[in-house]
Amino acid sequence: MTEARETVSVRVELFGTPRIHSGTNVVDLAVPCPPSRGGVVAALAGKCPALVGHGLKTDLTDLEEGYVFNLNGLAFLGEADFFIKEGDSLLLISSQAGG
Amino acid sequence: MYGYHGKALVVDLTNRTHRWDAIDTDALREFIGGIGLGTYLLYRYCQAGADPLGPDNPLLFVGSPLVGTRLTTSSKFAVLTKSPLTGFIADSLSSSHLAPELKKCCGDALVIVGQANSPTLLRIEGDATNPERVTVSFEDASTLAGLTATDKELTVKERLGDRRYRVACIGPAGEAQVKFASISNDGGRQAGRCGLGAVMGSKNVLAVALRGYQAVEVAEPESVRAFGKDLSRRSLGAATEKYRNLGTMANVAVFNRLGTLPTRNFRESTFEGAEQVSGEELHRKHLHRNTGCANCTIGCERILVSRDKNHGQGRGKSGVRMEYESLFALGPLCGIPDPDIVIRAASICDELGMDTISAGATVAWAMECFERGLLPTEDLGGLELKFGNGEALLQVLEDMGYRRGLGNLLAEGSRAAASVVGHGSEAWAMQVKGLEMPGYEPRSLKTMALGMAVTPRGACHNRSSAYEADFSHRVDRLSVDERRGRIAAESEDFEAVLDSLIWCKFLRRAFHDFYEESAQVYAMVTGWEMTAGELRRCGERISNLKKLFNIREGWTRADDSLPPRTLEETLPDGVAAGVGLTREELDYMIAGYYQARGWTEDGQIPEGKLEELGLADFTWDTESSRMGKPV
Repeated sequence: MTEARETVSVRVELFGTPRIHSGTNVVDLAVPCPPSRGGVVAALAGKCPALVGHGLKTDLTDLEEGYVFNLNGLAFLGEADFFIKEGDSLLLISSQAGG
Repeated sequence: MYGYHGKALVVDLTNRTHRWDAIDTDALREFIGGIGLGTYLLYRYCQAGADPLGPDNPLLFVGSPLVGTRLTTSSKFAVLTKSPLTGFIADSLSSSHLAPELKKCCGDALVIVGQANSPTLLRIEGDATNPERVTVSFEDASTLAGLTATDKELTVKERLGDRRYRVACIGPAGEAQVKFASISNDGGRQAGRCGLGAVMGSKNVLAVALRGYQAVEVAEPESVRAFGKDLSRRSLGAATEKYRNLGTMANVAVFNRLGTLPTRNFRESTFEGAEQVSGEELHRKHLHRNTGCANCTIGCERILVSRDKNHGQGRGKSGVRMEYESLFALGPLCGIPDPDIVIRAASICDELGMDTISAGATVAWAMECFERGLLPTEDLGGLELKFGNGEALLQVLEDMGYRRGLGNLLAEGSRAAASVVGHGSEAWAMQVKGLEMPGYEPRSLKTMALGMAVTPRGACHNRSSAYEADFSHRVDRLSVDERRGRIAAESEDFEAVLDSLIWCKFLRRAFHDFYEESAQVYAMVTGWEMTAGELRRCGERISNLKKLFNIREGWTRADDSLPPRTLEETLPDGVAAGVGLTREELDYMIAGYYQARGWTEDGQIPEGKLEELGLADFTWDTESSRMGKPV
């Protein structure tokens, strides 16, 4: 019988303002199962409190408006399609791509 | 009349005269201002088939109904002409203090026609609400010749003895009619793309100095003030945080990770030196100060300094403005990881007055030609123009600006240069319609690939914001589907309204409902009723008129495409390794775009569509194209 996982390990890569505020490029997290946006946000806030209000909502339920998660550099994740697995990388970036 | 003057100042350089031409109320309502009204006026004042560098090509500076209201980000103006680089419509935006002065003394637009026979400073002062009090003088500018853009602006202000004058000027590249020369104002802001500075240079106008007295009234000042206060508050929210903290430079590291950072002339889409020239690193090591345009609460501009002590910053200058597009084009695109070199390169472009995108992209094309042994060695003077050679980049930028040696060929832009060099180099001249591509890799941003292929002014990230879909969960950016045509068309229409009112693009997500709120504020300013639906229609009308101008100037279906490299080579690296874009996929998206627009299969605008948009009288008749009704 396989023992159920309690957490999944994911890496969050920070860009732009979150990188400036946290002073780091990468944060490794153990996210409670089943992994959710709120779970990632709460775990990230625990490791990088400086991101609260600068990418992460102050109630730690989600990202602030203006920020998105991208999965492994490929797919941008909407609210309804947040599926991550062990070893994934989440990119925390601004949703404003213009320049 | 509120928000507008209902007239344009027309200056004839050949005869040294000026007059005021009325602009119909219907035209103001249907084309709004900025790029939209400018397109209408360009169609009217530009003789069909005009030589872009000849006297029949007008140069227009156009304000907007929002200029002078002090609404955040609204101090902007448009510059339009027929592009010497593309032969099609040229429309650029610039901003800051010049915009309100333009509106005060020139009315809704300044239309410059003809050609001066010697270097000229065009000086305009007065109150457009009382045209008899406006003076237009044609002053000798021979002492300005050869000065950099910054030095010209400062010298003009000193000469006029009144720092309240606002100055638009060209640098040496504009004087030399470099095909992608820019027009500079307010200490280095640029109307950058499409070679507007070359047209100004062809007219022998080295600078335009404007000073106005009286702002135009708005219909409901209290409502405008209240709306502006709320909008300013919203402009400081999370939706603009990127621009307020790092500016557009923030794109470098993200684009690199997503495999969308064009590198070494679009051969690759990731750059091993990206972190060195990332916005985050430049912010940490090179930031001199943050600033912004007049009446802007966002303040996205980042002024950087080089650590190279041998690099003078120029008279009156304390750094160089850095944007993502300059950073990409003078960095990764040329294989340059050294931020000091990129900063110096941007400074050279600004001071000589050249579009950084076209300049960098044309050098990148030349670097590839050099590595393939295709450049004439007698023009190189020993220059090792390889990717990554920073000193060679700096040298060749100077040579382009002054049209020296190889620079004389490159000053024509990558398409024209490739037609001279040949040997297949057209395949890696990374341009559309002659305009060099911005920093968005089309193979890994499929919606943007379509946007760049079809947008009237050529490869462009400002007139089409199709990339927004690619950077969201709405589409799979690495594949093609039937929705892209509509997305691209809607993004062009949205940008057309944004660029006509004129709001800054970075404000766009601060609106709860862009069209609804913009219609409301338009009505507050002008006193004319406007609905969200009408405003959307204006966007569609403006997009169609731009296309119609191009059709009049010889556009064919073949002009809507991408360079062969993007259609024949897959990406070799990064998360998008192995991804390509076939000609069939692009044609499929283009067909969807034409369908979404209600155009024919070969991209022509049917008569019924023209009638529906009120464009039926925009004919090819050269007489009507010289229309201008005296007040």
